[in-house]
Amino acid sequence: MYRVALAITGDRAEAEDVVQDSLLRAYRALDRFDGTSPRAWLLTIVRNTHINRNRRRRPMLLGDPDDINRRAPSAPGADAQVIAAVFDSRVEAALQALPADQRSVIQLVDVAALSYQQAADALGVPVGTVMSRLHRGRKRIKKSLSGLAVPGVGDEPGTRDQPGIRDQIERGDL
Amino acid sequence: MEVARALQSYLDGEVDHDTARRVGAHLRVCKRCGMKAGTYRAIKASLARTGDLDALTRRRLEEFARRVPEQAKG
Repeated sequence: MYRVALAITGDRAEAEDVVQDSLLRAYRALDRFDGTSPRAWLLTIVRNTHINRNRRRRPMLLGDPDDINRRAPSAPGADAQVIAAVFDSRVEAALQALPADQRSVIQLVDVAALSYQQAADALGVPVGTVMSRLHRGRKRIKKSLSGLAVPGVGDEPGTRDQPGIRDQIERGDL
Repeated sequence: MEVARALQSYLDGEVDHDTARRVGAHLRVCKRCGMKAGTYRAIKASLARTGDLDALTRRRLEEFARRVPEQAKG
């Protein structure tokens, strides 16, 4: 619930308040729950809680991207942990730099682990919209990482058992 | 190209069985798409890690959830 609320609100404190309000609403509405899909039911409550809170109050500004930049390591080494840490901080910075509509879909699907349909329900948009925002957003993140070492990518299917470019140059293939 | 369009949905487990088989087979032979898939998987894994709730927030929310029954009356 918290991850979904964070994706929708874009603010940690507000997300916490939304979860608390939602828990109260859910408890009070328990007798009206038909028992079929608790997850979908809770998502709807989180979404409605957020909408109601916004009606009462102007939305807050989104998180400060400088928080992430400050944490970014400045001198990446060769060690795998450093590669992963640098990668993570660059991915998070790229996520924060995305337009809000793309960022919230990515947070719902990749951070909160919702399906396309669940994300569509949480945002009140068609599945096709979820898909195009998600794919465009990830493409932009990927683009912003160009030239960066990707953790574990050497083990991917398709790269296994295939000569690297350097090997091919050394053998004179290229 | 078709595989490139379906790649992200495939990695999200959101394609039908036939498409999954086709994309999976392509990724085993195409180095370019294989690397692209690897990068998308790494991005997805990295994003999943950012969702780990910090201990304090988790404790506050769990504590709140415990008190919901009495608060709901108020």
